[in-house]
Amino acid sequence: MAAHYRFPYLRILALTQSAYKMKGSLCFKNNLVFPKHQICRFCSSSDTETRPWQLMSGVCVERYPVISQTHNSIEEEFKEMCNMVEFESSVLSDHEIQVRKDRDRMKKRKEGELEEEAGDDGEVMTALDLEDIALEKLKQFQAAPRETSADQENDTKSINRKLADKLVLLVKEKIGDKTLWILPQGYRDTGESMREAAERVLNACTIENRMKVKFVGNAPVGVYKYKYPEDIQHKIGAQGAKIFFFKAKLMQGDFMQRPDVGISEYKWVTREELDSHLIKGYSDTIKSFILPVSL
Amino acid sequence: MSWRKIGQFQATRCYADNFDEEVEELRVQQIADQEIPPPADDTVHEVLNIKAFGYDCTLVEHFAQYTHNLSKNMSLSVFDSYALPAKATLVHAIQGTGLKEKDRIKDYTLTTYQRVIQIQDLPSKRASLLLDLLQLNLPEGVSFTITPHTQEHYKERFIRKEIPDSLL
Repeated sequence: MAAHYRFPYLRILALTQSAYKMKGSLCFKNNLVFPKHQICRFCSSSDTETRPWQLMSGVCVERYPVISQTHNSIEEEFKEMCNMVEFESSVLSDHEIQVRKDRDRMKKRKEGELEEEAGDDGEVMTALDLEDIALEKLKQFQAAPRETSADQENDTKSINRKLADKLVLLVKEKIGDKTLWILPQGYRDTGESMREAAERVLNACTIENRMKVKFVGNAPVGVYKYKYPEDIQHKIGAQGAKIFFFKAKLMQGDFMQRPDVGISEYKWVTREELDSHLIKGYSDTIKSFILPVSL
Repeated sequence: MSWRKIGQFQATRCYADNFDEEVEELRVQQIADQEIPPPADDTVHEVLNIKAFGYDCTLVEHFAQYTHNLSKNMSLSVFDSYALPAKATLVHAIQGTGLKEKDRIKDYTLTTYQRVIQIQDLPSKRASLLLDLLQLNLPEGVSFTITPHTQEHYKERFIRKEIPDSLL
């Protein structure tokens, strides 16, 4: 065994670690650089049976942005410049030609050059009049405010907060002995596909027909592996759970919590606020498939 | 992508049982069905039409260009990209009495511009990503729909011509 080691220090470590009961080839716990021809797999020293993984479906319900993002200063300046360039290099529209014609006609009539045409009783609508009427109508129009009341109160349960951003649904559930913020998830029953499990999980969380959601595609968008601690592994008989996430778009309605389900709270959060609610590994997985609105 | 001229003569099929029906068929020019390729396997979608439409032509065209470039960069095969004719909508505003005759504006014309990008064999794994990107980068004033491509979509691009009796 000592002969085929390229580096002497590995041989020494092999001897010291022989106290461990190893299965198969030699394994190392520390971060060591070992030669490429050696393939090692770390095996648990306590039990050798491989337990199955439980499958769960998670649902990522997203409310897409309602309004566009506000421009920063550079974008504003560029927009102004583009509009100016386009205006200067554009051709006169029909309306503008008509305005110029009418103006010339008025001038000629004042100077007395143009004769009064038959049927012209001065009640003709000129293009300028049309423009004035249109401008009057525009003044009466009131655009809705970009910041709603939910923004001002910072009501995280409301769907009307942060209209320019994407909002994701988070629920607070009791997992083991901890209550954590997670995406709605549930175990897959036998005989159903992962996507059907996801739809069932979402329907179980909310009161029926309050929230209309559209699932995108049959393929999951992300996966998170969670290994159970030893005592729970023995109790349940599985090594851990693999959560496959499905994306859903909120079409209409709002999340209405069912009182009997194990959800204590819910929130609609933006992508930036995810970090403060979720644990690190989970947050990284989720952020990989939730696209930011502006890069 | 094949270059197909609209209205090009294609071999016609006769669906008539007798002479009279055949004459009736000849009146309206028959357009042969398009060969829509089926999906390559179970994991990909069929040919999908992404139709962008809106009142502002520049925005619609730029969004169509954006989807085309995005699909190319995501290595999706673009089957075809074309424009549908603009639809003019006449809006007749009925205003009550109270305004003088000359102050009432009655009619407006709004034109809707449409552009279609066809995507072939979209893998299911990338479908949600493509949809997400398209929705997030949609400009104000433009909407888009995604539908599977059918023969009706193909046939509506053609102008059906009535062949006059003198020619029959």
